[in-house]
Amino acid sequence: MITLEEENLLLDRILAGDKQAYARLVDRHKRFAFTIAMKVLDNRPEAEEAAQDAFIKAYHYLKNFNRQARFSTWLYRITFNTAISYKRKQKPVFQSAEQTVIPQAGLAEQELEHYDKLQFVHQAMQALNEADRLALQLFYLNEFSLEEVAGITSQNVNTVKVRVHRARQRLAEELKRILKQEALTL
Amino acid sequence: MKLPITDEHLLRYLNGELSMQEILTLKDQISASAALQQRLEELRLIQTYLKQTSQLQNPGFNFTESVMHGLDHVRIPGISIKRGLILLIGSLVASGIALGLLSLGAFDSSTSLLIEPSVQNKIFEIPKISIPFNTKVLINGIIFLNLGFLFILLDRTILKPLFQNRTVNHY
Repeated sequence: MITLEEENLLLDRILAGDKQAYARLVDRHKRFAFTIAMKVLDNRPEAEEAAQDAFIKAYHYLKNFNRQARFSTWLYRITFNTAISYKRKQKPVFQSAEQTVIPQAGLAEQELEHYDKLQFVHQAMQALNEADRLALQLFYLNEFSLEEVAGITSQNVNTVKVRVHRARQRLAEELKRILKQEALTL
Repeated sequence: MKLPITDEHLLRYLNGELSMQEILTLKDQISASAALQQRLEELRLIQTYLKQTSQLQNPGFNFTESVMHGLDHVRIPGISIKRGLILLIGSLVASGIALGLLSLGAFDSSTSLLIEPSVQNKIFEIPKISIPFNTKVLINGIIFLNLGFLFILLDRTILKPLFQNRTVNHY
């Protein structure tokens, strides 16, 4: 874990022209930035491009970073906004509920039932509106605090709180509906 | 007294945010209600899903190298291809109009710029200053600058992105 002091020293070195110091920052934050881009875009090559673009933007605008927030929050906000602008250019892609990210190979019967249930949650997630879904996913991503999610998405903390709460409620409602429907079809 | 159990209570219970007393009360109410048990199971499923799908993901092997390579490329913020094309067409039209007027001889006459003194003096007369200048030369200069601007615009908005895309696709 890098301290605030170390981070500031690193930023000073980068601003003085030390590019290798920036490579260290990229290495440190790339997984988070990439995962955030993936949550928005749901497409690996595009998420990778958006995350790289965000790092390049952050480097060019580093002198404008006022250091009132953590560098990570500022960087993730750039990543989030870059991914959103990529999303606007993205052509709509049909994704079936079966194309979930949870692997199922080699599962026992009980695990398979659990996996099936998770499929239903995935299906329910698709019914949420995009802003609520993103707020919820970011909140659970490495357990970001509401303040951090608000910083990344450039929203008010209360708005994020409402979104997360509402998204969980809707998710539960949607899941209930799906499970009921499934029970009827059996 | 039994309080109505909301999803928020159940979520706080799943997150381990309730006190021991609250947990005991909640457990009592859950064991007495099949609906609450079902709701808790649904919420537990959601928590599991969200935690499972919120693992950090690894980008490609040469992610950092690609970023470091990208830092050296000059970025021109604010000019998109669409905007660049509009500017390009606008500049071309303006240059065309100016050249057309030039060829028609609209700027052939020589003009002079007259500067009159703002304060009149009765003792001695301040002479009026007249600076002659050729409008044709001025318009020629503007067209020349416009053409230079056109070349830069063509390079930045069309040629450079085109060749950069070719390079990226090549690798």
